[in-house]
Amino acid sequence: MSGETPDSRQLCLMVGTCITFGLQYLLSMSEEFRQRYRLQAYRTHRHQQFMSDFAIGDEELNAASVFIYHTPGWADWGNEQGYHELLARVPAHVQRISIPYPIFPPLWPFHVYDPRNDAPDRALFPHGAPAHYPYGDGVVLRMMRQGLPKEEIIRRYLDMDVSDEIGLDALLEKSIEIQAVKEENTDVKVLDFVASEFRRQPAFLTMNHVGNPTLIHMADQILGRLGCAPLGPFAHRGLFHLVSPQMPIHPSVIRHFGLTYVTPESRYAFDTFRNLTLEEYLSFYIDFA
Amino acid sequence: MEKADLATDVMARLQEVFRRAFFDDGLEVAETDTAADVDGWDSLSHVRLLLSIERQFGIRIAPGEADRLADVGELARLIASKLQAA
Repeated sequence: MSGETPDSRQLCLMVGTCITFGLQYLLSMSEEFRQRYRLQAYRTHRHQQFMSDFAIGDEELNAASVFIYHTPGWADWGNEQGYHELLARVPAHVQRISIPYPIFPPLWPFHVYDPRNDAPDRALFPHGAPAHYPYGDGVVLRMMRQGLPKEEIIRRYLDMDVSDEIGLDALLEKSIEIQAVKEENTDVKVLDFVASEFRRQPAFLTMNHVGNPTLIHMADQILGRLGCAPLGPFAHRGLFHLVSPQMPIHPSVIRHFGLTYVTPESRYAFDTFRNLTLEEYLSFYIDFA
Repeated sequence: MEKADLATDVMARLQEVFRRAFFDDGLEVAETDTAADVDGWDSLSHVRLLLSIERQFGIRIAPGEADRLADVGELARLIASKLQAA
């Protein structure tokens, strides 16, 4: 006779981007949720083919009680059609809870995709993995193309006023406008929270990674739809960042928006090993090639 | 302005918008280019591109409206149609 007890809990499926790492952890912190559900998460990252990551069979879908997912059209899947086909296969008896895929460019206004990430012979991180900087900086890259020495790039970058390059208020307004449309039909919403909190809490860690406060706001809404109580104080105060990396914010952006949770000297958890100031981050980023 | 002239004018101005939005003075975009062909253009930098287009052309592009376009040429035609309608 096997010593294992069959898991009689209901199955909760969650499909989404890397922010589901954090949501999975937070939902599992709820004792009510844990007692009632076993959570199976399927996730992907940008630039990957959706269905290769999310080949969820009909048997598993039929066994589920809850299905947490991003609304289609916004999640930047490699295969949008495949995603629609997956959603069409979710049986009617399953409770669906849709979550947004929020992005927030105003704090990192110079993002471009850095093609150096695709170089097969690129440098290695000190721990041996191929270096990867998923959030490129167009202004730094422009100065590198101009042939400026590293120290000069860092000096000019730190001294610049970001508003001279881009209208930060307009970028904020456009980002809010887009997010409002994204969440028109989602069950879980973040826009009001982000708009009211981004100046005093890390609502986002990068332009497409929500921070713990926003993740908790999302998790509490999911828990509420499942009849569970919101997360307790520990979730708000006792956790490291649940999503990585955390990108540095330019001093003039901090000033412009009056961010109160960071200063120009703040350190940011770029990866498991490095807790960097903006200046230190720039030094690593420029050397990345 | 004639329709063909307008399309040419939009494409020329769009070149400058792309250069500014992607911080690359040497960037050349063709009508057949997609996001995959333009260094730096992903869904995250797309917001800044939309904002730059709105400011350059004095038009408004609704969220999602430019996401369904196949290439730069379609984007230029969308801009031209909005300018004509204005």
